[in-house]
Amino acid sequence: MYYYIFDIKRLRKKGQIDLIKNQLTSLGISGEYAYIAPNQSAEMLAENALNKGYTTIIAAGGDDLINSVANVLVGRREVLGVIPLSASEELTDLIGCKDWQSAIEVLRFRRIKEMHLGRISGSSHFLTNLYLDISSPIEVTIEFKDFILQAWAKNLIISNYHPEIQKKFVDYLDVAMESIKQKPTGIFKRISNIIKPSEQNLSDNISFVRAKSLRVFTKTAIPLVAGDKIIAKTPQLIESSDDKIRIVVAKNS
Amino acid sequence: MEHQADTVIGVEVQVKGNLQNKGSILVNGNVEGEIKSDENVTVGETATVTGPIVAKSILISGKVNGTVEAAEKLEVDPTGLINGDIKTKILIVREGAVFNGNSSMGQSPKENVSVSMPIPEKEVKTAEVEQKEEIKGVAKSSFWDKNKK
Repeated sequence: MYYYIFDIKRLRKKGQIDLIKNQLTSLGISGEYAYIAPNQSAEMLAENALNKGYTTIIAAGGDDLINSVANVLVGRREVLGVIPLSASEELTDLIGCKDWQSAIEVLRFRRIKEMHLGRISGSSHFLTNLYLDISSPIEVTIEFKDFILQAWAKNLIISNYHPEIQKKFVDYLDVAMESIKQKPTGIFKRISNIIKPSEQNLSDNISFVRAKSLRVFTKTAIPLVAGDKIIAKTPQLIESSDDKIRIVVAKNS
Repeated sequence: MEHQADTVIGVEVQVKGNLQNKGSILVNGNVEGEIKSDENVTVGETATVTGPIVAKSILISGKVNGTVEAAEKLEVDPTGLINGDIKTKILIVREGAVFNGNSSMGQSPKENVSVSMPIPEKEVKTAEVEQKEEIKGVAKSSFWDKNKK
């Protein structure tokens, strides 16, 4: 019934994997164990589990592993379970478990939630958030259904789930951007910025839009990151998936 | 006026097209196009909107070049500027605000909330009435004068 996919790179201590397996056995939810390897990707292992008829596939690792397994399970009746190992705070908040011990307890109770995922260019999915990987402000153009938005962006996040964003529509993505004033082009503008510093309220620099889909454009190709993994580069179409995923969560999630 | 908005356009952000939302909208940047909401629209001090705005209630603290239509209330702050026609049930224009356009507010003055104190009607006296009253007054005083003696 249970198929566990481990990313052993995420284990913090030696012997942690045995601890996990012992706890699973003691709770009566042990199963088949598989490990990611150079010739065995997470997607391959998940497909393998489905072919064998497993109904619950547990991703034991970080956001990249969990997103990869979610990619395979979206739109299916089979259920995704999560044992977070060095996973993001957004992901642990989503499942309602801060550590692997409580996540295993939650797996035992098997409370299932259905949710939409974020999808990039019709193929890759993400459970929580997608970030534009920028170290300095860049010019960004975002095309929504009825309007186009342009700004110098310092940060851009496209969120399917974030603990600090109140989700109003379950099948919409929340797009938050921190922008800056347009970069000064000439020496006199740069001097004026020093003489007369901006009195802008920082919170006024935030834009927030809810949308089912959007296209992100930048002058040069910029990576889009989910978890720690680059899953695409701009320009990209990003949308809320039509299909849902079934995921095991804690009671209060 | 600060409130949580469902859609927020930040300062120095350019928007071209129509912003249509079932929730409230806060604009601090520049919008070229229509803004339409079932709830509140706020045009912040740093904002410039070129195009019509239609919402339940609207607060203007920035610049609007276009018509503004509020189903319930329109407020224009001292820093607000409207170049265009307005239509609303309740209008509040604060000192310093600039409005260039035509205004349309309900069907009768009673429907508009504004200062209205009933002014007591002054009695209009004709010259003839005034003369008669003067005669009565004189007559009364002479009667008493006679009887005092």
